[in-house]
Amino acid sequence: VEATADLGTPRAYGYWELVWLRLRRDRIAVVSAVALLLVFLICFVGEPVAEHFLGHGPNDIFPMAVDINLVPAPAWTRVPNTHGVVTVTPHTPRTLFVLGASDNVGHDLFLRILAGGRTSLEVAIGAATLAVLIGVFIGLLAGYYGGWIDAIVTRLTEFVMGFPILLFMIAIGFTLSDRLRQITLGGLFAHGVIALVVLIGVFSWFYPARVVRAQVLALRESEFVEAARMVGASDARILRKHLLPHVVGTIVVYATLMVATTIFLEAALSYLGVGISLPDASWGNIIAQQYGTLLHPGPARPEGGGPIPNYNELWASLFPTIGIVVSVFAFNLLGESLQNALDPRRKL
Amino acid sequence: MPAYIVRRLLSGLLMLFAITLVTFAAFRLIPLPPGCLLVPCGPNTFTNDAQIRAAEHKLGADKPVPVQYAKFIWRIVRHGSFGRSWSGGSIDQSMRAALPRTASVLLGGVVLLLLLAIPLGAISALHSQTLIDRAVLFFALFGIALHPLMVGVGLTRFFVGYLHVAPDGLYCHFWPSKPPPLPPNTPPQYAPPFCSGPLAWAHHLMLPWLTFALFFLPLYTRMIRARFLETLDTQYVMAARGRGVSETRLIRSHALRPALMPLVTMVGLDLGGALMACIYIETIYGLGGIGSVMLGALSTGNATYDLPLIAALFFVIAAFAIFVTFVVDVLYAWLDPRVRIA
Repeated sequence: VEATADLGTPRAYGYWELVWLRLRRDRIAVVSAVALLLVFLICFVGEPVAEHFLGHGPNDIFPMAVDINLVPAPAWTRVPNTHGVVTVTPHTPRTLFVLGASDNVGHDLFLRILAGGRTSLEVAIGAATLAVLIGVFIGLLAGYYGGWIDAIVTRLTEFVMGFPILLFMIAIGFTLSDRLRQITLGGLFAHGVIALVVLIGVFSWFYPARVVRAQVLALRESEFVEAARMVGASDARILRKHLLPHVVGTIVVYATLMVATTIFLEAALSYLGVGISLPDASWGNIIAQQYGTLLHPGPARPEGGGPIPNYNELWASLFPTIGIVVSVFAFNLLGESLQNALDPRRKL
Repeated sequence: MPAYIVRRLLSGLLMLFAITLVTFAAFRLIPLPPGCLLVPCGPNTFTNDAQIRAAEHKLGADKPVPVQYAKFIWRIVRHGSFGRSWSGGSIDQSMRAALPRTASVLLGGVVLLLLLAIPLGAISALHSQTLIDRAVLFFALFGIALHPLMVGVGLTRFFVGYLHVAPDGLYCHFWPSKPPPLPPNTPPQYAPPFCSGPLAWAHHLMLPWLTFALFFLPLYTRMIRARFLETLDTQYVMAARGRGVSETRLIRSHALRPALMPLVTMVGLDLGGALMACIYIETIYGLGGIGSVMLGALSTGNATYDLPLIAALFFVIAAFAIFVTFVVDVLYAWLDPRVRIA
C-alpha cells in the first residue's frame, strides 16, 4: 500500500518551470550565463573591493605614472602616490598599478577597465530596458487598436530602418545632453549614464514595438480574446492579462539581444564623442582614448602611420575589447538559448 | 505597375518633406541661440541681447520656422541649391566633398560583402553538417561580437602598421585630377597629401571596404545558407538533379536566383544600419564623409548648431534612402516574375 502511494501521480510542470529546466540542460546557455555572471561580479563587486585594497580610484590622476615622453607605465608598476604630497622624494608612499596606466594622464588601467565595464553594462541594460518598455507599451497599443497609432508606428519603423538614426543621436547627444549628463541620481551612476540610457532608449524602441505589434495583431482575432471580451473584460484587462503574457517570451529574447547591440552602440557613441565623457570610464571611451576620436585626435602617430614605439595602445585597448566581445557574445548566445527554451512546443 | 510606381514616388516625396520639416522643428526646440555662431556667447562674455538678435537677423534665424522651412525648400526646388550654411560656407560644396566619400565606402563595401557572403553561404549550404559548415557557422556566430571599431583598429594595426601593404586613412578621388593649388609661399614639403585615380581610390579604400564587409558578413552568410538549404530541398532542384544537371550549373541557374531574392530586400532594409556602419568606418579611417559633416555642423565652437547644413544633410540622406527603397522594389519585381505579373 505504501509503495503505490510513493509512485503517485506524476508532477505537473508549469510553463516557466519547464523553461528553467530546458535552460539548465542547455550547455551553451549555462556557459554564457556563468560568463555573464562573472563579468558582472568582477565589474560591480570587484571594482569597489579592488579600489579599497589598492587605495586609489579609477578617476584619480597620477602624474608620475607616465614617463617624461608621456608613455604610460607598464603593468605591475608601483607609482608614487602624489596625492597630498608637495615634493616627491624616493620615500613617497607608492601605490600599485596592476595593469599599468591607461593613458598619458596617468589613470589606473585595471580600475578603469572594471569601472568602465560597470558603466557600459549599466548603459546597455538600462537602455535596453527602457527601449523594451516603451516598445512593448506602444506595440501593444498599435497592434490592439490599429488605426492612426498603428500607422504612425509602422511609418516610424520603416523610416528608422532606412535612415541612419545615429545622426540624430549625435545631434541630440551633442546639444541637449549637457544638462542630462549632470543627472547621476545622487552619485549612483557615472556622469552621462542616464543621458545615454535616455538617448539610446528613445531611439531604439521601434524594433521591439514592431515585433510586439506583429504578434498582437495576430492574437487580437483569437478565440480567447473574443471570449474575454464577451464576458465583459475591459480593453486594459485584455491587454494586461491576456495579450501581454503571450509576448513576454519574445520580449525577453529581444531584450537580451538588444543589450548586446547597446554595448556596441555605447562604444561607438564614445568613439564619435557623444558617449560617456572623461574622466569617467567606459569600455568604449577607454578604446576611443587610445586611438583618438573625431573631435579629440589621439596621440600623434609618426609620419606614414604605424604605432608609436613603446606606446601601449594595444595593451590598453585589449581588455575593454575582450570585455565587449565576451559580453556581446554571451548575451547573443543566451538570447538564442532563451528563444529555444521559451518555445512551448519543445520537449523537455 | 506604373500606378504603383507613381504612388511609391509620391509617398516618397511626402516622406522627404516630413523628415526635413521634423528636422527644422526639432532643432528649433534646442535652447541654444543660433546667433552664437557669429558672436561670442556664454557666461564670461559681454555680448548683449541686441547683438545676438542682430546676428540672428543676419542669419535669417529670427523668422518663424515655417518661413525658414519654406525658404529652404524653395531654394532647392527653384535653384537646385542648398545655399549657404550659417557658418558661411557653401553647403553644396561641402556636400559635393563629403557624399562621394560615404558613397564609395558604402558601394564598395556592399559589393565586397556580396562577393564574400554568397560563396561562403553557398559552400556552407552545399557541405551542410560537415566541418566546413561548422567552421563557417562558428565564424558567423563569433563575428556578431565584433564591432567595426575593433575590426577597423585591428585591420589597421595589421595591414598598415605591421605588413605595410595598405595606406593609412586618406581618401583618393576616383577621377584623376590635379592637386589643389597651394597657398602662396608654402614650401612643397608642407603640401597636404593628395592622390587620385581609380587605382589609388580602390587601394586606399581596401581596408574600409573589408571592415564594412566583415561587419555584415556573419548575418548575411547565415541567411544565405538558410535560403540555399531551403531551395536545395525543393522539388524542381531535385528534378534537375534527376535529369543529371551538374552541380555547378544547378547552383548557377536553379538555386542562386531564389536564394538571392530576400537578399535584395535585406540590403534595402538594412540601409540605415549600413549608413551607420559607414559613419563609424569613415571616422576610423579618417575619410571625412557625412559623419564628419554632421559633427562639424554641431561642434561649431560656441556649442550651437548649423541648422541649414544639418537639414541639407538629412534631406540628401533621406532622398537617398527613399531612392534605394524604390530601386529595391523594382529589383525585386525583376528577380521574382510573380511580382511583375501581380
